[in-house]
Amino acid sequence: MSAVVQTLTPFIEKSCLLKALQYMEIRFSEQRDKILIQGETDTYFDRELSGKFKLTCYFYTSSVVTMLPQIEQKYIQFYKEHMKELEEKRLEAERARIENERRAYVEKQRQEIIKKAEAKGYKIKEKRNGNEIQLVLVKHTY
Amino acid sequence: MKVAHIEKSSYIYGPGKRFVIWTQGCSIRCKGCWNEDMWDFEGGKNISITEIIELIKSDPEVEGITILGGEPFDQFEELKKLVDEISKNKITLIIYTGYELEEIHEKQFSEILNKTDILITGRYIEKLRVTDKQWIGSTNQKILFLSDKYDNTILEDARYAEILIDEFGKIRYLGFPDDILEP
Repeated sequence: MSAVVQTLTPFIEKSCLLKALQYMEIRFSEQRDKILIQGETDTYFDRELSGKFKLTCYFYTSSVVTMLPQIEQKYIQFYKEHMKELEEKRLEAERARIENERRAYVEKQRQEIIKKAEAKGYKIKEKRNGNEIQLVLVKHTY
Repeated sequence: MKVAHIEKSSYIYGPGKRFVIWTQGCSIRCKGCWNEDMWDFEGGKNISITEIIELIKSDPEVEGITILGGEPFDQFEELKKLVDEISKNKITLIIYTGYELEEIHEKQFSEILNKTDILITGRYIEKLRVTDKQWIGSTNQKILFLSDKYDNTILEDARYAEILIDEFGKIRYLGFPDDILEP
C-alpha cells in the first residue's frame, strides 16, 4: 500500500492570491503581509519565511475546506495569466529597445550625411517617402 | 522592357518630382560611363509596360517620367510603347540618350520625339566631364526642349545629388559620384 500525499500549491505571488479571493467574492482585509478573511474566526493567510502564504484558521469549517481548492485553482489560473502578461511586457520592451536602436542608427547616418554634405557646400532639402529619408543635395559652383 | 533600376521619387532628373527609369542594355558604351553595370542586355529585369504604368499611377504627385540608362533607344519598340502610354496621362517626359538628334532621325526613332518634352542627347565624353551642370555629364551633351511645357529658364546649373536612407539604414546614392559617403 502506498500513500499519496499532495500539498496545496504554494501561494507565493500575493497579487494572484488577492485576485483569486476577489474572484471568489471572499471578503478580506490586509495587514502588511497578513490577509484576514472576514466572516471566519481567526482565519488568515500569513507570509512564511519561505515566502509562501499559509492559511491559518481557528476552525477548519466546511466552508474553509471547500474554499481552499477553489482558491488554489484560481490562483494557478491568475498566476499563469500574470506570467503571460509579464512575458508580453518583456517582449514589448525588447521590441521597443531593438526598434529604438534601429531608429537611432538611421538618425545617426542621416546626421552624418547632412554634416558632410553641408561641409562640402551642399544645400539640403529633406523629404520623407514613407519610412525613407530623401536628401536632395544641391551645390552651386558659380 | 529591360529595366536596370526604378526610382519612384526623385528631384534631380528633371523638373519636380519624377518617376525615374534606368533601362538595361547599352550598345554605345561610352568610356568612363558611371553605369557600366547597365550595359549588358542580359542583365536587369523584365518589367511589363503595364506594370510600369501602374507604378507611375500609384503616385499622383509625380510631375513626370525620366528615362535614362543604359540606352533607352536600344529598346525602341518597348520605349515607344511606354512613351505612348505615358502620353495618355498628364505627365511630362524626359529621355536621356547617348545618341545625337541626327542619329535618332537616321535610325527612324524620331516618332516618339513629339511625345517627349525634354531630350538630353550625346555621348558621355570623359575628357569633357562636368559635374556642376544640370542634367548633363559632359559638356558636349545637349538639353533639347521639344515641347512648350518647359524651356531653358528652368535650368539651374549646380551639382545635384540625392541620398536615400531606407528604414533599416540602407543608402542609395543618385547623381554624380562624390565623396560624401566616404568615412
